[in-house]
Amino acid sequence: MNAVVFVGPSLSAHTARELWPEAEIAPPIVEGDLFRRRATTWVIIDVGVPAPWPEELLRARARGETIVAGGAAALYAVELRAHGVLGFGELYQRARAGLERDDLLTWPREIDHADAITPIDLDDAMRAARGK
Amino acid sequence: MIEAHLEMRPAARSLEKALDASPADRAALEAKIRERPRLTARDAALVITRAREIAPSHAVPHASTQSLDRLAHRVRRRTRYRSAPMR
Repeated sequence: MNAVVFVGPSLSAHTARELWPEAEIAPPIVEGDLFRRRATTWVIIDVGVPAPWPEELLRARARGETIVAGGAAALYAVELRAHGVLGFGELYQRARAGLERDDLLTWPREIDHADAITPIDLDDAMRAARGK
Repeated sequence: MIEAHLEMRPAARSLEKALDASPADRAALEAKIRERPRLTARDAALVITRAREIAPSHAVPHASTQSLDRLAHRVRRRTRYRSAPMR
């Protein structure tokens, strides 16, 4: 069993490695990544440009590979849930309930520094500031 | 920080309207935002932890290539690139 975790701005590679030492920690997934290597489990959290097509996830599923999507990639899990793509986390739950949109979940391309805050984090903080 | 998002993201503009923050409140608000543990970080940690728990035992049924092709076609039509918004 080998696992690959695609994570970038959401969480540092160091922290991700602490959480799952046996997994390979990879930068945000881009188009074609699921074809370029093999794994028994894919964990998709951050997505780069160009983003993978949903079909790429389906192809991996057809190869018998487990796919978990969450965080900024939660919409993949929502869209492909019926096809066995698993979703976890608050963002997945919110996306599944239809509360979140693409432009809230994705990282702005213009922002790539460590101090950046995503639109969804901004939204979350503002909700908290409003006491909601 | 907020202004940068407002320029880029329509959703963030609607957030500003909902919040109705005056410019004078911005500094305090930004400080609160920076102090707050980020949802994306919390969520990423949770997803990795849950994936690690289920990975060894999660049995995945294989789909046939033919059914997969039909499936992929339907998904492409239905999702309309929704999962690839940055393209």
